[in-house]
Amino acid sequence: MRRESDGRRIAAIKQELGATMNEYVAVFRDADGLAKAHEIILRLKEEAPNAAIDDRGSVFNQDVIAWIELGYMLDVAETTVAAAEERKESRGAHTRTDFPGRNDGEWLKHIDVSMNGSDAPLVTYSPVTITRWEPEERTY
Amino acid sequence: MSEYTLRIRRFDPESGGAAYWDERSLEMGDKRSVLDAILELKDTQDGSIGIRCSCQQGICGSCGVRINGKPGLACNTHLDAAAARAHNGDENVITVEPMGNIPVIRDLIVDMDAVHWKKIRRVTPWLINKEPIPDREYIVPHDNMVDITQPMACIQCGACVSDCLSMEVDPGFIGPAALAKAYRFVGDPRDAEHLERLKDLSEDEHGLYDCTHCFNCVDACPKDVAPMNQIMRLRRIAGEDYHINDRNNGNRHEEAFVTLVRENGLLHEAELLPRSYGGNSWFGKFHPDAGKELMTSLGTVIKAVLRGKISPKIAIFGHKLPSEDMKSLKQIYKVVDGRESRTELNLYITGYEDEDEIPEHAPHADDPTPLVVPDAGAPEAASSAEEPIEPAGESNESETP
Repeated sequence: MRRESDGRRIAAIKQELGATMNEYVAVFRDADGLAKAHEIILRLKEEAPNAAIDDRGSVFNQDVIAWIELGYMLDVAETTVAAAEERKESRGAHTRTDFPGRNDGEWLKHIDVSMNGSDAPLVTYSPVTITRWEPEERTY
Repeated sequence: MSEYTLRIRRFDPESGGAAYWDERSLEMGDKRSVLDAILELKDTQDGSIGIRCSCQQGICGSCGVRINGKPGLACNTHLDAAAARAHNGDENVITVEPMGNIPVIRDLIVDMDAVHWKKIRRVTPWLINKEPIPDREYIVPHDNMVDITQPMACIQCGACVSDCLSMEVDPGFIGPAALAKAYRFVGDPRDAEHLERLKDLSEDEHGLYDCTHCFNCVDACPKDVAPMNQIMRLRRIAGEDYHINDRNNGNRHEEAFVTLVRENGLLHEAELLPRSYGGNSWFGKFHPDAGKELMTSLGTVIKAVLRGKISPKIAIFGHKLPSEDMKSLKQIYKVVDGRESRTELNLYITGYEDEDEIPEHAPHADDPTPLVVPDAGAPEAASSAEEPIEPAGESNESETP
């Protein structure tokens, strides 16, 4: 709490993050949009630690909580974007306009994203266990 | 969109200073909530404004505050509605303070553990099983569940506690929220210890009979729990169903009150005190408890007589009402006593009075009996003769010529 914090307001960064996610990482996604979102998130991640904190007290300091939560939000946003960029097909609520079809041959697998001590999210795969319900194309 | 000025009561426990008013203005839609405005100020002007909130839609009960003097949820109070009742007369100035009766931790955040939750825990807020535990689930009649719907709607926001006048005088008072919670279990047929609960609440000097019927909690509640009504229901059940004569003289006082009005038409003040302490009859005043209480109250009585608040004649013989008034009064008692269910059970659930049009459907079986006092003076023969009066008169006229 003794550090200097002369950056943008926490709420302004949150607002930009929210608008970005809504515009580029909602249901319909494509490589260009995801790349833009990724870039913005990385910029916000650099900016966030220096965000302005008005509250210098130690009793019920909601400003600091908001600042910590902002960090978590950025982590989750980055993870979401990394996974969306990786999955080059459309499946469920993830619709890539540049890869409209479902591709069980290549993408019938989980994408695991972890921090793993690095700055950038580490993307790995794990197999899908299929039990009673065989995966099939969803038709309406 | 209008410009609103929020006067927020701020308090920082670490500053060593007293609470102060923090005035900030912003542009916002009239139908946005007071909470929206506070959060906007937090986001754009000062992140150190403290207010608890979660759902922002009147479900969680976190954002209880006092807005222009009235307790309620910041999230379900519109800015224009809040500004309309500004008590300082300033237009579009909204005063936001922490709730009363509960210590402030900081700014608008109060210590719910210290008061509210302590009191809720006081009333054993869980269902006590019947023994032996039945093999199958309980079947609870629908009416019983409807009956406890009101106290079950409580979201524990503390608005009623904030403005409880009894609690202001006696911080030990169990209070509206916790007593409403107590009714939730006393009214539940699955609970095994109704009597024990009622005894406990009646005998506690900060319990059931500490409420003074001020209606503040009924006004405060954002969920229409009407805590005061739940307290009255507890009293009726404790007194009339379980005959608990508590050591606080609460039940005796109520009985004496009702009896004296029945007998005199108005309250016979001089009889009330001895009967409340000594027992509900003319002989009550000879009970040692009554004598003791009368001696301690003698000063007040003498003062009241000297200042002309009561005349010695009325003090001794009571008020006298005209006989037709007494007849109507007896009729009211007859109607009320003749009911199968107690009226306060439905006092605030129906609420036709608030609506412009009274529903035209025939009275439903579940509707509370309307309070119709038959004409006290009219004997039965007269009322049955009422109907044919007009036709009879007409036929007489046609016959006469």
